[in-house]
Amino acid sequence: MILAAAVVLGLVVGLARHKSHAFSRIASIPLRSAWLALLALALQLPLLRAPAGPTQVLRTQQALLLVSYLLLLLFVWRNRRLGAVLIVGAGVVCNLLVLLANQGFMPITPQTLVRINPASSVEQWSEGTHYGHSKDIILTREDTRVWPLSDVLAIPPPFPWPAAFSAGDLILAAGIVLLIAAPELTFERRIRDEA
Amino acid sequence: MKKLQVLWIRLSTPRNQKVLYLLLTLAALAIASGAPGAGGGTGGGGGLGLP
Repeated sequence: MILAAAVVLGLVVGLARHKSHAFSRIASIPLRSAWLALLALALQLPLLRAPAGPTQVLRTQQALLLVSYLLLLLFVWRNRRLGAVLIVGAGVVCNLLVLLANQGFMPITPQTLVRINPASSVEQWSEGTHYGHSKDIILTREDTRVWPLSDVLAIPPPFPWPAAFSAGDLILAAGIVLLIAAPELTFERRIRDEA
Repeated sequence: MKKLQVLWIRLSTPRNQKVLYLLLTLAALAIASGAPGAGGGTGGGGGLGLP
């Protein structure tokens, strides 16, 4: 949910910059095929609702996750004229690379899990199992492919919503903040293309 | 309840509805593209029942 905060941040920055015109600017964003993003999230719900356990029983959810990323790429392609969406696309590609390289899940190390769950210990997290209610699989750093792009970043307590996230998450969050807070900047490509 | 209805009628202009739809779409995009749920603490714990 930490990524949804990017929407709130973008809105706050947009309101600070444009005040009463912020909503009009947001409404003018020519986003195409928005339903693709909503459908992609719907396809991921079965995996996001699955509790912790072996990954072998999550084949269907895993396949749906990969299909959802194809929809997200299609969404990015349909909106490629918006510069900020291209930044979002870069984040999506980063995350997809890691998923494809690691059995279709986002790897997270036991050490990172202890950082966001200080009441736990490294031994408590079984390698190779699904981290419940997420897209993550628990893997050691040695067993993680493309480790730098996996969920290596963390906001630990006392932050009220401790969470782990990837570099791809940061990139796409930046794209979303930019799209909401400065929609006029994201139109530059379109204007240039049409000129 | 009636006040809420009046507020809804006043605020639910086509523009505001579009803004709401766009923001919900972008929230869905953020959640679907990233790694939601990789959280801990209250309500987290990856299903291990941690505090």
